Parts: sequence; C-alpha cells; structure tokens
Amino acid sequence: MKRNELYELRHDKTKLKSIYLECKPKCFGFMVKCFGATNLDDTKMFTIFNDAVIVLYEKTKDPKFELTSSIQVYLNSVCRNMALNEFKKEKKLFKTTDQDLENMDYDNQVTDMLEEVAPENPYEKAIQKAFNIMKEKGGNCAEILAMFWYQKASIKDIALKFSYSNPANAKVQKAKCQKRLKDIALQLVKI
Amino acid sequence: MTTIEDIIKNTYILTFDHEADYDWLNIVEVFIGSEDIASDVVKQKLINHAESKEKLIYWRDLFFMEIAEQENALETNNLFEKIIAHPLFIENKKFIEQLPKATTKLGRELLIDTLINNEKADILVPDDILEVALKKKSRDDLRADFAEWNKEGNLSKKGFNYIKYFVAACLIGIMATVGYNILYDNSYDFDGSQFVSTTEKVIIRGNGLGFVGDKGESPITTQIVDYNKATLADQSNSSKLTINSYSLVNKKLRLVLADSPNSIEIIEFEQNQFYVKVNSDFYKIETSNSFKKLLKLNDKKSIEKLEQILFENE
Repeated sequence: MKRNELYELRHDKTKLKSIYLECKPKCFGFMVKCFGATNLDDTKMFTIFNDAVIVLYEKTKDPKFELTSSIQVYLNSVCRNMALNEFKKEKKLFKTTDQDLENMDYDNQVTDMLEEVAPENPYEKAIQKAFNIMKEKGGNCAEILAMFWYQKASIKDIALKFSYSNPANAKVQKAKCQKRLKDIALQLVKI
Repeated sequence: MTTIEDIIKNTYILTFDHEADYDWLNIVEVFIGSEDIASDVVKQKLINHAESKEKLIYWRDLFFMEIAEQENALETNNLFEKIIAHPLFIENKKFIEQLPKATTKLGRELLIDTLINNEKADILVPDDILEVALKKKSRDDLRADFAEWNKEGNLSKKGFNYIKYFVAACLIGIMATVGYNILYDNSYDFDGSQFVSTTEKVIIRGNGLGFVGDKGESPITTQIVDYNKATLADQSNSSKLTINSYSLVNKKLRLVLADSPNSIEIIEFEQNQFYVKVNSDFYKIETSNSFKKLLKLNDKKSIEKLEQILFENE
C-alpha cells in the first residue's frame, strides 16, 4: 500500500496535488492536536505544511527514498519535526507527556526536514539574483528553467506546459533562457 | 550517445534558426584554438553565410554550455580533452553545476503556487470556524469534525453543481439568441477608485513583422480594477462591473480582472491587431468604447509567436 502510494506519486504528476488537498486538513488537525492552537497560528501551520509537502516532493526524486508509513503519517511527522524546530529557534520549551504521545499519527523514525537552500558562494548567489531579475522582467524563462532543473521535467513536458508547437522549440527557448541567465549572473558577479 | 558533432550542429540551428552542412569538427577546432573566431571562421571558409561576429560568439558560448550540460553523456577523445581544458567550458561547467541548487528556491515557490492555486482550495477550513471549534470541542473530536465538514462540503457542492449547470445552460441559450460578443456597460468610476491601478505600458511589437516601432509613440494608459477587492469593499460595485472585461479607446485600456495581475503586456501582433497578456494568458483585444468580454487565446501557434515577440523584446 505504502509502496503503491509512493509509486503513484513518482509516476503521476497530478497525484501531488490530490495529496496536498487530502492531507492538508488532517495535517492541520494533527498540528493542533500536538501543539495546541495557541502555539501555532494558521499562518505558521500553513507554512509548515507547505514545506512538508516540498520535503515529500524532493524526497520522491531520490530513488533510494522509501516510505515507512503512509503519506499522511509521513507528512504529519515532517510537520511535527519542523514545528519543533521552529519552537527551538524561538526558544520555546514544549513539553509532551506519554499520554500526549499516545495515538498520535506520526512516525518518530522520520527525521526529515526542509533543507535550507542559502547560497554557499557568490556565484550561486548571483544566479539566484539573476533568477529574480528574470522573474521581475516577466516572460517564461525563470519558470522554464525551474521546471527543467528543479522539477526535472522533460523538454516535452515544458513544450506542453508553455504551449510550444513542438519540443524542439521548447529546447531552443530553454537554451536561450539558460544563456541569458548565465549572462546576467556573470554581470552581477563582476559588479 | 551524443557526439560533439551533434552538439555543434544543434547549437548552430539554435543560434541561426536553419540547418546547414559544414565541416563541424573543424569549426570546433576553431572554437577551441582561435582568439578571433569571426575572422578565422570566415578566412577558412568554414561557413557560407555572412554571420555577424556577435552571433558567432553567441553560438560558441551556447556550444560550450551544451557540452558542459551533456558532459557525462559524451564519449571521450582528443577533441573532448581539448574542449574540457578550455576556459569557456570551465566557466559553463561551473554555471551548470550551480543550477540545480540555485533553482531550488524558485522551484519550491512555483511548486507551492501550483498546489495552492486550485479550485478546490475552499476545502481549507476557514480561520474563524477553526477558532470557534477549538474553544468548544476537545482536540480529539476535531478530526472527526473535519471529516464531517468535508462530507457536508461535498454534498453542498453537488447541489451547487446542478445550479451551475442550470445557469450555464441558460447562459448558452442567451448567448445563442443575443450573440457571443456582448457589450457591457461598466458604469464604475475608474479614475476615482482606490481599487484601480494605473500604469503606462509601451506596446511591444515583433521585429520581423515588417513595420518599425515608433520610439516616440506615447504609451497606453492601462487601468486595472481589482474586482474582488472593489466588490468586497462595496457590494453594489458588482452591478457596475463585469468581471474579465475590457475597453480600449483613445490609448486607454481598461480591464476588469478578478484581482491584480502580477504582470501585464500589450502586444501589437500585426498592424492594429492587439493582444494583452495577463500573467501567463493572452487575450485578443480591439478598439471598443463599451466593455467587451476578454476572450482567452487558445491557438498554440499564435501563443508561441506572441511569446517569441515578448522574448525578443525583454
């Protein structure tokens, strides 16, 4: 069952959206049950849940990743880890008792959290800035490159998404966008 | 397996938009060894067309970028060894290596945007209901309530769907009788409203369409009313505005949109054939004093041409 869920997620592009919708209320309920509504407001829960879905999405790209529980329990567990991390950052002490932990739908073997993507060197920083410049200028370049490099989408998928009449045209556009991104980034590094 | 010859050939097509048959590997040698590729390519008569120096340099850069991207899929030989020692290859390899991580932030943002932006978003429990429920109910009961609410939501949605179909059927009937291109009378005060954002937009034109853009031309004043905000502030505005409509007269484009768009562009595709791009969708617009329905362009070829014009003018 768990393997099926993961298989579907890896092979069906619409699955992530249905998981997002199905798991959201339950994750919110789980977080309220775990930490109480006074410790986590809706905005924080929303951010944590979104980040947990990103963790799941990025994990599915790793062929070695295996689910040890259902997707709902996995998301609950990641939400819990990240909420605890938030409390730690805010220096909030959060106490749990054995009774609190009973019947909680999470897996304490899951330690996954969202990896920080702070740029490590000036060039990487410049590329991120170049992305922002591209995005502000409009057009599809930033989205095309994010689809290709982050989502690992094929040129065919990109052609479909942006209504190119054939994959060759999408390939031309991707190459031009990539070249433009590099040119902007190099200019920024020089500055 | 991809070869160096495939890459030099493909990048030529990417740069010059046409196919050719040259001594590709000799051109690669020039790319690696020459300090002035433009004159060396011409001197050695390696290409037939008189291409500009800029385009040749662009081609060379694209070549090294493609090699850097496909490095692992290429077979190694003497030429390959020379290429990977070239400073342009090293520069492009560094860039390609950074790309997966550098795109993560934007990729995550876009992914969440896609997931949030859906018609079923109303499944989310509204804040006030959650707050009241929390006060009244125990935490354990709450999850059971979520299930109940979802069931109720589904039922009411089903009921609502019949109404929607009925309304849609009526609309089709009206459209068949009155005609599709209905004019609307938007009596809203655009100039005095806080929900209208006004910008000056220069018309974007294709370079290859046979007419030259007049640089001294005055821009189009674009006024966009945020329908949701305007009607939320004053319900009576809903009778004064028709959502997704426009008027275009005297260099003034007025748009009634559900909310404020992230980006907007006006394109003149052919003489006096205008399109407006709102976020990622294109709409054909024409001069009209009365408001008209915005009709989304679905023709893939036209969309591609319009995207190309925008790309060339970025």
